[in-house]
Amino acid sequence: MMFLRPFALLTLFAALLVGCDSQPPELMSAVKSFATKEQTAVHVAEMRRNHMHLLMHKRDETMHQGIRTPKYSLHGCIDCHVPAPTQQRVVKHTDPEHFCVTCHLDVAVKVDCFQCHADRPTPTTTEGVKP
Amino acid sequence: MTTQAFFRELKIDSPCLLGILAVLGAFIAAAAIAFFYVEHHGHYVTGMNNQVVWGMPHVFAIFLIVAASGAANIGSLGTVFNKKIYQPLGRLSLVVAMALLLGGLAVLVLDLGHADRLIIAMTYYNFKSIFAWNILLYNGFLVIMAVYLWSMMDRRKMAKASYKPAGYIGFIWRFILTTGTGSIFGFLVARQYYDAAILAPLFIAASYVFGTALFTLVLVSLAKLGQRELGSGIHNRLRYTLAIFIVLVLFFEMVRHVTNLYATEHHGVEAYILSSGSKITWLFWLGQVVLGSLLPLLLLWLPQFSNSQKALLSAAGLAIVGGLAQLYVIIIGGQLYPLVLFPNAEVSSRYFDGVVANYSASLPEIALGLGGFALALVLIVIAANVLRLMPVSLADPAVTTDQ
Amino acid sequence: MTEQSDNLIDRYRRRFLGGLAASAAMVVAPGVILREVQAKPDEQAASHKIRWGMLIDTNKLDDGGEAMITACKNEHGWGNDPHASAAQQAQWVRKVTFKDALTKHETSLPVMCQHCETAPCVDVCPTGASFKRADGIVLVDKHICIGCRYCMMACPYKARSFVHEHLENQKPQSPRGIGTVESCNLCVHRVDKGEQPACIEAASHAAVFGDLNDPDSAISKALSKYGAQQIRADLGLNTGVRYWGI
Repeated sequence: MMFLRPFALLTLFAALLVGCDSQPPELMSAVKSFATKEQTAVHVAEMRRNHMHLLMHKRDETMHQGIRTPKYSLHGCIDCHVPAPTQQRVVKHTDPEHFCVTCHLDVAVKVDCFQCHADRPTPTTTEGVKP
Repeated sequence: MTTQAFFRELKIDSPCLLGILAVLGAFIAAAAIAFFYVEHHGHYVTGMNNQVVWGMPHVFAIFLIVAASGAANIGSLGTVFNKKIYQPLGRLSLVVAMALLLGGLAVLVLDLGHADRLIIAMTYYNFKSIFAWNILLYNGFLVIMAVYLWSMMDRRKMAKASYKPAGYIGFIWRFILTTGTGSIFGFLVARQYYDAAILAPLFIAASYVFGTALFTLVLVSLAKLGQRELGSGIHNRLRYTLAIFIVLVLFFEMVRHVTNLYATEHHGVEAYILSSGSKITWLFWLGQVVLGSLLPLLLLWLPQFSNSQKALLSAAGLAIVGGLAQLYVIIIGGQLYPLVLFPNAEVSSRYFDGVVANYSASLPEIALGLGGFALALVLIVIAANVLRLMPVSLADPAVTTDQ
Repeated sequence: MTEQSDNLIDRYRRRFLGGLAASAAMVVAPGVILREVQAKPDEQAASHKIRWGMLIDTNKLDDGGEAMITACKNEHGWGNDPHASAAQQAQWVRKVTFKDALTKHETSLPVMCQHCETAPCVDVCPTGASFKRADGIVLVDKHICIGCRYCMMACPYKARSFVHEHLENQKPQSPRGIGTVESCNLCVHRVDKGEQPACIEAASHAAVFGDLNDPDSAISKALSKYGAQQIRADLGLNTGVRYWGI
């Protein structure tokens, strides 16, 4: 039965791979959206490929040279992708449904952006909100 | 170049070795718990604050780093100054030096607000900062000591040829490294107790005291554990080396304080350190001067102690206590005294201006510091146990005493 | 109507409209001419031709700067960290009172990062996280700050604070976080937009902000006319924050 052993090992290995899924998890929908579906698709593809690079390098330009192009503003991302806090609901970076956290929890890559940066937009209403 | 002394692994008795490793391991585990506790909650759980930004961990870390530089001196005395009696001790001296440095660096790194960003500290350098230079100097020290140790232990021709160059480079590098460590404080214009060029030579002298004292204790302990004989020749050389360096430290401290007392600008801080009656004053006079310098000198020089191993060990232990007190006075005392924003004025604010600050070391800080010590000792014990570091015998006939 | 009276009406109308335009221009002109801070275009880097500075007149500050401190706290969100003790609490700016030993004259002033030209904190930072921007603002790049606190040891003004705990709900314009060092950043987010720092707005009768390199700015004119004092001038740091009355 020796010829069965590698086959058994391969099957076991394949079974372990069942949990792996190359599809990204379901992300919460953005607060604002693009005008056309094509723009959205381009944005999604560009971000999936480049967001780490942009975050790493644009931050140095902003910090050290004061370049504050709105297109690469972190607040811009947050304002669009995270709902503003309300009386009923506050989405924080410790919640799994927070936009950035959903994928990062899935791939187990810790981000320390929100140690310093606000993880939610400023509340737009004047009513008191849960901190 | 080397004497006829042979080197052999210590091969300590298993129960004894396990006991030592268990005790030291407990200290290391406590330090690890302390690190994770502080890293998880933030530094508010420590006694450090915005007035006293460097606390107990830094006292231990800088002590270990400065001692590391001095411990390698025994090796330098054998290589650079050709003192034959020290040559058998060269291997152990380098390993002690490397272990102490690693212990000190571990404490320093683990206290960082963002220890996870150590890789940034290793890759982004601001070369105007003496801290950045120190990172390079400490890592270079480890490499040079490793090459130097290899040149002592390997029998190949290339190794033997590297012995003298490595020894000389190591000697010079140590001077630069300890000058750099003293300059961490010496370069600060802001504080009344720092901003003094004499801190560099003071730290060099102190490194010899701490290093020789620690090396003495380690050598005698390892010799007892491995049942190796230590003759009076070695004892007396270490005795007088330690004594000379203690005198040198006293001299530099005296010059420093007398010079400061001459300048009106420094009267405030000198009064605080020397005569205010605070914890710092007691640590300076009782801890550093009496227990750390005068009492060891008596133990080392009085004729009735001239052959007493106990006196030598006590003096070494007291010198270490005195050294910790000295660093506490420099590092923490220097921060407790307020910054002088407006000379000749009574200053007050809601943020501790114009008043001496408060600091009491918290348990996580002490645990982290002691863990660094324990890490260094663990590395030394394991290294001596499995490597050929300890000479078979250092009894008097086995070592040549001609200079 | 006769042709002559038409011409007269036109003339009067033109004069009226001209006068209206002139008075409108006079109302708008001060905003244009006296505007201290020009908004920097977003894609443009900060320029070394500018050096931002502040002048604080302690004689005119009745509260010693308390209003400025409150404005700074509200703008940046410091001062209320829940777990930090009083000595660990962040203090970007504080009110310092001093009484001269001889004259017994008492003065109060707000002390914040002085944005020195040769800042010791910039010199000592091992990673370069503490840096001076081209336009003179001394900042901490918290992305590369390792939290060693050496800059806090080096600062002669005790201007820097270390964040001792996890923070939440930060102001979007002012990121601050655990394990990094922070200090007054001259409200760089406002300055880049062409606004004044929050503390200047809160005490506009006693403090002025502007370009020290521009001889026509209000601050330069005031400084060249009356001079000013630095805290710890003996250190030769050429601070960007100057005071009257200390």
